[in-house]
Amino acid sequence: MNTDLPRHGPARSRSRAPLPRAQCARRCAAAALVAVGLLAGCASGKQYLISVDGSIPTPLVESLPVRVGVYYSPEFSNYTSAEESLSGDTWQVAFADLQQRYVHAMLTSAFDEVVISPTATPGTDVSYDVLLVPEVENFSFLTPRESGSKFFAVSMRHFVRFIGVDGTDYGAWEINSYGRSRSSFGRSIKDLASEACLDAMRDLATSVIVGLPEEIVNRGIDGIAEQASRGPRL
Amino acid sequence: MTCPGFRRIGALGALLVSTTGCVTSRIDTSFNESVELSDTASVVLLARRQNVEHETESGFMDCIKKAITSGADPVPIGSDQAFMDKLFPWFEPRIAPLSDENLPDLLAKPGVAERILESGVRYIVWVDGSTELIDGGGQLSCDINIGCFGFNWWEKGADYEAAIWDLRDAKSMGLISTDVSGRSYMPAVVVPIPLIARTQAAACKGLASSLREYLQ
Repeated sequence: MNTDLPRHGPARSRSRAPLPRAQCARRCAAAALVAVGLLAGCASGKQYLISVDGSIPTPLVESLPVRVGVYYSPEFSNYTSAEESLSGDTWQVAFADLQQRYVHAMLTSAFDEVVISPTATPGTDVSYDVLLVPEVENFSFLTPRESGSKFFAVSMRHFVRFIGVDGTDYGAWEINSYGRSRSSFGRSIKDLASEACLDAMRDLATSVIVGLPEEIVNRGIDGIAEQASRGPRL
Repeated sequence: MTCPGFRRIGALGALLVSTTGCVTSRIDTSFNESVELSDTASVVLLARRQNVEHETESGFMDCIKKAITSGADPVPIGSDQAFMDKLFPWFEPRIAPLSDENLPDLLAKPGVAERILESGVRYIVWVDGSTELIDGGGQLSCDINIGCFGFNWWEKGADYEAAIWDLRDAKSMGLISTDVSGRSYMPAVVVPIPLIARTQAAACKGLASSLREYLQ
């Protein structure tokens, strides 16, 4: 291979004064940063951390003369979901104690007395009529890019297990909740995601306050089905 | 000094702004009796949301609210969120009454009628509907060297209705419905020229105008 042949046009053959060392170092650093950025962009999607926080209004219902116990597992009390979207982005949604606060607010409005149980099974000497154990089964969402729309959508599936004071298992109630963001104009994707999560949580609270007394009645839970039948009905 | 290039661009801009697609609209109204509004906000607009797929767009709600509450003789409209919070959970999408026939049952629930009275809201307007793509066609291709050539079109339908309920007397006051369709075109000879039919805006204008007239 003949290395003496001119490989470029006349512009290349012009002699250039060497750059000062400091300037050269800055250029090299900038080029390295661009290269690292491009490599990172190719290697993985974006990472989003969404912290969801909000408040729920006090429900306009009369409380029932029923004493319930409730066990909040650590997973339920401090729920965090992490998943990868179809586009390769990683979404971590942290609810902190929001689920527990929302559900507990509904229970204290719906029933005369609510006792937090330290375990998921009733002890020998308990002061409630039924033990409720809420659990999160599933959390999923669609980003605007995935849904092809302007909104962020969230769906959640919860179960509430009913356990009698004598340990009788009265089964689990499945609750499906949905939420979505509203206006997207001028708002960040994090805002939209948080709004959709709060909307789904509000939907969950609605199901709990209206549906729980009916579920107690339907399951014929000993001693309290009669009182619960006076609860909110649609 | 003026630049001829700027003139051409200005003329093209004016052409784009002044040309739109075709919109046809129809509005039907049916009122049982007239409303009695007080000085305080006694009307709220609520968007129908039956599930995550079917929801009246928040942009449409904002448009209706803006059209009713601005200009000469505005109609005061209360905050929908404050109303829903005060009456939680009874107007949440999952359990909100779908027909005025359910109103007596709702008002009979403990504390509901009292809370509504306390809120000062007498009338609620349920806005239901959406704007959807109905049809479309054509072919348009673009090349970075020679530009775009071809023709595209699409048609959107905007069907909305506003049902006015009297919460004090638990009855329906009337219904306004609007049915708008608009066809947009995009011819392209080097540069694509969008001729957009503002279907949803036309539906908003028609519905808001009828609603405002009725509420005044």
